[in-house]
Amino acid sequence: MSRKTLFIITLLLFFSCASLWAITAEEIIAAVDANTSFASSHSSGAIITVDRFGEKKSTFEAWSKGDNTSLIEFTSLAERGQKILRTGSSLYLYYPEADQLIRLQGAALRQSVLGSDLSYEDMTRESSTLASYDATLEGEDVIDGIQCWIVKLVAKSRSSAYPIQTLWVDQERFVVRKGLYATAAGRALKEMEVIALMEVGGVAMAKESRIADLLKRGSSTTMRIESIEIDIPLPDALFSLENLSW
Amino acid sequence: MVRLEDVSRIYQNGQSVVKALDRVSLSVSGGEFLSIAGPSGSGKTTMLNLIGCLDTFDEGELYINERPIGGMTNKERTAFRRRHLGFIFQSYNLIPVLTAYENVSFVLELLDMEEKRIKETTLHMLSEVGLAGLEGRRPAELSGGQQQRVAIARALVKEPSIVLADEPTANLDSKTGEEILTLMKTMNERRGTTFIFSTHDAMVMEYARRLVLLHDGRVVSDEQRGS
Amino acid sequence: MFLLRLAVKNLSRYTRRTIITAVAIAMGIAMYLAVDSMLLGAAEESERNLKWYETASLRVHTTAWWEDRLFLPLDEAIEEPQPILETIHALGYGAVSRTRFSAELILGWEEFGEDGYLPVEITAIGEDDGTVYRYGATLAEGRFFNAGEMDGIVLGSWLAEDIGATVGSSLIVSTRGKGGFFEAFDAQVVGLVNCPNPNVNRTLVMMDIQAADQYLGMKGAVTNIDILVPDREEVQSVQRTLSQALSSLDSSVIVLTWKDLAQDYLAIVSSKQGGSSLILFLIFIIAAVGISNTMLMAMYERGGEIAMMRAMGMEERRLWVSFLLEAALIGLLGSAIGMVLGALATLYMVEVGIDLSFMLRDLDMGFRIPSVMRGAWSLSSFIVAAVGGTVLSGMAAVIPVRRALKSPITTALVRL
Repeated sequence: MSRKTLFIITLLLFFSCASLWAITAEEIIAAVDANTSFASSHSSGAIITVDRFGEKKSTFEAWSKGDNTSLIEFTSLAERGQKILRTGSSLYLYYPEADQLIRLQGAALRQSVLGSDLSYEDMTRESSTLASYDATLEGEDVIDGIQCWIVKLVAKSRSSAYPIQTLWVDQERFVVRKGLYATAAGRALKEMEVIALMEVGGVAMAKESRIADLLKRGSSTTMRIESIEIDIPLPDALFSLENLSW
Repeated sequence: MVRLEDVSRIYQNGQSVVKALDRVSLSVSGGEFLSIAGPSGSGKTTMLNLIGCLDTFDEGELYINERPIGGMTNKERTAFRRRHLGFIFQSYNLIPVLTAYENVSFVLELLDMEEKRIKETTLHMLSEVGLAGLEGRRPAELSGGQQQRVAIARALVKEPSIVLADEPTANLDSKTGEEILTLMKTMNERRGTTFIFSTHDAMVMEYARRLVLLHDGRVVSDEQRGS
Repeated sequence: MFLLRLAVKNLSRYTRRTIITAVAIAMGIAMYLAVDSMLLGAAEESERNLKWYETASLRVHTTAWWEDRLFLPLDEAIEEPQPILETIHALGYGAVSRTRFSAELILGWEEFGEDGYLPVEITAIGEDDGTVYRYGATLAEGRFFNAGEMDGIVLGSWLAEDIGATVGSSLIVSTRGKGGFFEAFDAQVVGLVNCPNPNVNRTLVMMDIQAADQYLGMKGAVTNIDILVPDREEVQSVQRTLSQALSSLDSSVIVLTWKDLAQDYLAIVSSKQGGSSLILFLIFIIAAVGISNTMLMAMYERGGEIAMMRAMGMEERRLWVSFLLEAALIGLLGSAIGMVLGALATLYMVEVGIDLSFMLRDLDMGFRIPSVMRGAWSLSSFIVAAVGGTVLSGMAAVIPVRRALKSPITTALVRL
């Protein structure tokens, strides 16, 4: 038996044992990430922002290809034609009234999208959670009658927006049901809960989720996916700068 | 001294053309005391204005001190007047804010004379016309006759070769008028200055040693008179 | 000399008309001087209050920070402020490091009666801040935070009033640290400052720089180093000196003057100066209309005299001088009265000032002045007004004089 074969057997043994006895936090997070990444997608939905001034609903249509190419176009009246294009690590905004194209970078990425609790950088976040966070399994809990793992994520660097995240992950479907986002000192900032799930291509994903700002009472952002198609052919030209101003 | 050769002055007023002077020829020698007379509109004032280099003529030529005036520019005529001609006006034309002294001396200031000489000459001139002691008065503080005396002093102070006077006594009563004419004549005799004055007053004509009568812009008579 | 005497004497004959024209010019000039004094006073005081409370004389930033200044980017902070501070101190100037960052003040209903939040800029200062800024004397209530005090903040009094905060109020500060992570911490208002700079009163939030360093993960980095240049030294030349001295130390930093930092204010000042030019222009109109009318009437009335003088052989040059002098003298008289009135107005502005508190509180005029707007003396404005009033008046006579000299002597004589 070569040393290489021995190594593989040991590894297999290790994983099978682990899966028998307990799943690791890293495996849970990897599975969640895998469930939310598609070769391509085309979706439409709405962002509903509630703050002390009232409620505002914006609708959008979105296309994505791979992990870091996406295009969002707003379709609601107030912001019709506004587009956000992400290609690689660059983010562009297009405003139809001014026929103006703006490239966002640096601190500008931290601005809120349409006054919601989502920022532009939320849209450019790395798809691999484990690249930025260390994960530990904290225990189990039941959310809406569903058995969940509680995974605590601690940011590896200061460039992650939330120093600490606590996620409740559905043990059957590997979808996040609830998240709590906090400062390094542990002060809770935001809470995300999934209100409705849907099945797409055999995997579960959030159809409607709400992020509440815990510091600003009564302020929340609800994101709803009305329709989604995945793994469909999309032309590369869709994600080009030229295409922004059609 | 003064020579007009076929001089015409034509005024154009819209369509109508008025010949204020019609080919007038006249020769005046130095030291004359000459009156230009005639009814109003006969061309008296036009003639004085021409000789005074205040106006231009349309035909002929005018010589003063043998110099042709016709070709002179405005500036040259101004300089010529400053140096050679004195004026006396019907309504005196004194500057009301200046004293008698200042009204006379300013003529010398124009000649850039030095201050001391201006003073001597002016004071002497004023006493010659009988205004000694009244130098500091303003025109409003003087009688009409005194004002015209100031005007005469002003005309004579720079010792011009010719003094032109347009109806010099018209604004004065006859007694004062005669005094003024006497003064002018005295000056004419004492200084040898040529006097040319216009009038339509028979009494004034009496004083003239030569009387030129104008009618419709033409010389109708030109007579020497005894004094 | 004769011409001057003539001009003076001629003026005396229309006493009333001369006085009315001169008074009109005087009012214009007095108004110009008063407004100019006010604007100058406001500018001087604003400049001082900018330097004392807002911008210092000079400031060091990284070039990248300056380009992105709208976002107050902590990521573009000065990583090693110490050598820069030492260099500046060695050159004999006071300098302190500060960190400015954007944040939200989260107000809870328990404390403030309703929930709310307010985007603010927080300035984190050190113990030595007083060597450049002058907040020490502006404390109206409470105290300043101590070095290292993690939760003490000081607010501008108007800001505190606007949000309903008093000394002792608790609130939460929410922000993003260097790198972009979210941070939130509890803070307590320990003091209120009432500063002569309304902009500061309206917006100021200050905290300790050591505390900010910890919360924001600065690790010793600061966003700016602020420098005090004594009044007797020229800011631009110190800027050049420091730029040179710092370039070998840290090529990523730039030295900016208070003018670079207070663009909004400079824009206001230049637009207000447009206002005082407008007044100057109005004076010109008054002078032109008044003087040319006065001179036109004088020329008409004195047509015979003018003709006489021309007949006597007075050159046009002398006539010009005589009448322009006459007009200029009206202007000079007006300017003299105007300067006396203007001086009185300026004296009042300097000693008493105009109380604008009723409008300054809510209206941002751009000037950094407290409620009372004070004037300042400006010799140059008085000179400009006097010379301008006189010269313009003289110029206004040009048209009437030209008209009078154009008419033939004989026609003017006939009118006698």
